[in-house]
Amino acid sequence: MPNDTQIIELRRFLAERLPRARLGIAPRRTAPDTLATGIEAVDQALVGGLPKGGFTELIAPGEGSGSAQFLHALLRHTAAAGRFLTLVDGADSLDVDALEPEALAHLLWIRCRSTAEALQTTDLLLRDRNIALVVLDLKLNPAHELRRIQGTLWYRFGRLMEQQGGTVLVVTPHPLVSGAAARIVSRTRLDHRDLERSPGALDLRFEAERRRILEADFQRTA
Amino acid sequence: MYAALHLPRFPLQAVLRPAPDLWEQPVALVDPRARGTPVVLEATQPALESGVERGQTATQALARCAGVRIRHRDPSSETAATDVLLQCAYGFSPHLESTAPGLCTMDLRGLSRLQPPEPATLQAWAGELRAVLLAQGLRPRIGVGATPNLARHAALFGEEVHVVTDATGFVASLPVSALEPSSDTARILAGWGLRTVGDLLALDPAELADRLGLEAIGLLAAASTRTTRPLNTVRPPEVWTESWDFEDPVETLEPLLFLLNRFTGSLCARLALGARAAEAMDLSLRLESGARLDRRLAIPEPTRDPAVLQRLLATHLETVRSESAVVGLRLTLETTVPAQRQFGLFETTLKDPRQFQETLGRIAALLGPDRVGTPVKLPRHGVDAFRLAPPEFEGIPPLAQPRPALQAPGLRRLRPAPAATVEAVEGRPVSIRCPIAQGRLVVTLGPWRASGRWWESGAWHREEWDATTLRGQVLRLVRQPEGWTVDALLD
Repeated sequence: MPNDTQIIELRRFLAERLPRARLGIAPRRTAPDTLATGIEAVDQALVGGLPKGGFTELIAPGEGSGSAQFLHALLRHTAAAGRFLTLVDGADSLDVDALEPEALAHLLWIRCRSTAEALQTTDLLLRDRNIALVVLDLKLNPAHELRRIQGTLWYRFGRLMEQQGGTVLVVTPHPLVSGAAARIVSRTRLDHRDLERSPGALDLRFEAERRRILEADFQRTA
Repeated sequence: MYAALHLPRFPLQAVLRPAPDLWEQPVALVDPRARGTPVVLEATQPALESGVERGQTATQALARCAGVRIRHRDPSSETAATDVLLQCAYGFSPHLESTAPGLCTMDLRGLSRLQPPEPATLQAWAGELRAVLLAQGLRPRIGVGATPNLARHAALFGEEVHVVTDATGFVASLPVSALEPSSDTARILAGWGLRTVGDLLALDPAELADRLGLEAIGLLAAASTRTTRPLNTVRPPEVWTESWDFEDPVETLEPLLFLLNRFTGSLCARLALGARAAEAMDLSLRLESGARLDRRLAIPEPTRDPAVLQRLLATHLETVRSESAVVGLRLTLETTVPAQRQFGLFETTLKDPRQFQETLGRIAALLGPDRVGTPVKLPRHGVDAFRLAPPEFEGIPPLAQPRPALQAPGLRRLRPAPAATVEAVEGRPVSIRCPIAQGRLVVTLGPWRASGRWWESGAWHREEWDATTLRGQVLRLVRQPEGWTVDALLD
C-alpha cells in the first residue's frame, strides 16, 4: 500500500508535469502561467517570464538596443529547458554563426523578406497548437511596412492565441502592438567595445511591465 | 499453390487506370506507333456496343460512334500499370513473376494465412487482392491453382476470381486455343473436330505425336495438371509515380486537385502495401506552351496519409501562377522506411505532429522550402555556413550548458548585404554611404582577413572591418573584390 507521502509526491509530480489535468483536489491559487526568458531582470519584472497565451512586445529602439542578444538568450534558455522556439525572422537577420549547434537544434527558423510574409506566416503558426512560443522579429523591417499593419490584426492574433494557447513575442523598433499583455523596453546601448565581450558579460538593460491580466490567468487563479 | 493475376485488355487498362470512370464511356485505343494507318486495338464495352470493332481505323470508329474518345496506346502507362500490379501483389506474396504484360504469377507456398489451402480461404484471399487492385483502377482476373499453368488458365479463362478445385475437369473444359497451338496446328485440330482440351487429351499421345510432331508434346505439357516450373521471381520496382495527360488544357485548380487526390490515394495505398512512407513529392506540370513547372515538396515527417499529401499539394497549387494552361501532370513520391519511435509519457514535444507538418508545408508553399527549417551548421569555414534541415524536435537533448565565454555577441546579418560606398584613407575606412548608414566613421577596427576554398573553384577572400558611425551604429563592413558591403550590424 502506498503511504500518504508517496501519494502527495505523485500528485505534486503530476501537477508539475500536467498543470491542466484535474486531479480531483481543490484548486489553489498559483502564479500566472509564464515562459521564462532566461534574462533575470525581465523574468522578475514579469513575474516569471512571458505570459502564456498573449502578446509580449519587446520595443528595441535605435541601434545597439540588444534585441538580437535578447533573442539569442531566449533561444538558449528555451533549448536548455528542452523546448523549441519558432522565430519568424521578418528581415532574415539571424546570426547563425553566433549560436551553438545544440541551441539551433531547438529552433524553427522562418526566413521572411517582408513584413507581409512575416505576418502571414505568424497567422499560420498561431493556428497550430504545437507551437508554444513564436518570436515575430520586426526590428529591421522598413517603417513604411510596419505602418501598414492594421490594429485589428493583433486582436485577431490574440484570439488565435487564446484558442491554441500560443505565446508570441513581437520585437519592434517602436510601440506597435495594441493589447500586449506585457511590454519590455530596451534601455541597452551596445557599442564597438561590446564586440570583444562574451554574451554573458554584456550590459543588457531591459525594463518590463505586465500590462494586462489575461483571461487564461484569471481562470487559472480563480 | 500458385495464383495468376491477369489484366484483360491490358493496353486499354493501362491508359484508363488513372480515370476508371472512362470505362463507362465509349473509348477506343489506337497505337500511333503502328505501321500504316493506326487501327483500334481495344475498346470499352460502350464503344463495342456502339459498333466500334477492333481493327477499324479511328475514322471508321468515329463513323460508327460519334462520341467515341480516341486514346493513344502509351508504353509508359503500361510500364506504370505493371509496376502497380507487381507492387500490389508484393503486398500479398514475396515470390512474384512478371510472366507477361498484364500477367503476374505468384507462388503462395509457405504463406501462413493460407494454411491449410482450403478453397474458401483461397477465395477470400484472392477477393482481398482483387479489391486492392480495383482500388488502384485495375480490373483483374485472378486464378488460383496447384501449378503456375493451372493458375494462368484459371485467370485467363475462368471467372473473375477462380480457384481451381477439380483440375482435370477444369482443364478438360478449356478450349483448345488455351494451349496456344500454332496457326497451322490449330487449323488441323479444328479440322479433326477438336474443340476442347478434353477432346485433345482423349487421343492417344503417341499417335498425336506421330501426326503433329514435337508441338504435340508442347500441347500436352500445356494441358498438364501436375507439371510445375520455377518462377523467375522479380521484386517490384520502387517507383511511385502517377501521371496524366489532359485531353483539353486545364486552366483552373479543381481538375488538378481532383486528379491529384486520386493519385495520392492510389500511391498511399501502394506505400502501405510496401511498408513505405513518402518523404518528398515531385510535382511536374506540363504547360500548353511547352514549358514545365517543376516543384519539389519536402514532407517534414514521412507519411502515407493521403490527406496530408493532398493538403500540401493544394497549398502549393494555390500559389502557382502560369501564363498558359496545364496539359499534363506527373506526381512522383520519394519514399523511405517510416520511422518507428516510442514516445515517453512526458517527453512528447509536439502535441499533433501531423498538424505541425501541415503547417510547415503551408509555410514552405508560401515562402519556398529553402526558407523554413532548423539551421544546421556545415563543417566548413566561412560566414553563414549552414543549411536548413526539416525540424526534428522529438528526442533532442536539452542544451546542456551554454558556452557564452567562447562566443562573441550575436549580430544582425543583412541578407543580401547592401552595397556601400566607402571612402578609405590608407586602406582604413573613414566614411560610408549606403541605404542604412551614411557619414563619417568615428571608430574603425580591423582589418580581419579571411579566405577559403582557394584550392578549388569558388575561392573567396574577404576583409572585415568593424566601424561605428556618428549615430552610434556598429557595422561590420566587408571588402571583397566586388566592392564594399555592410554585412551585419550590432544590435
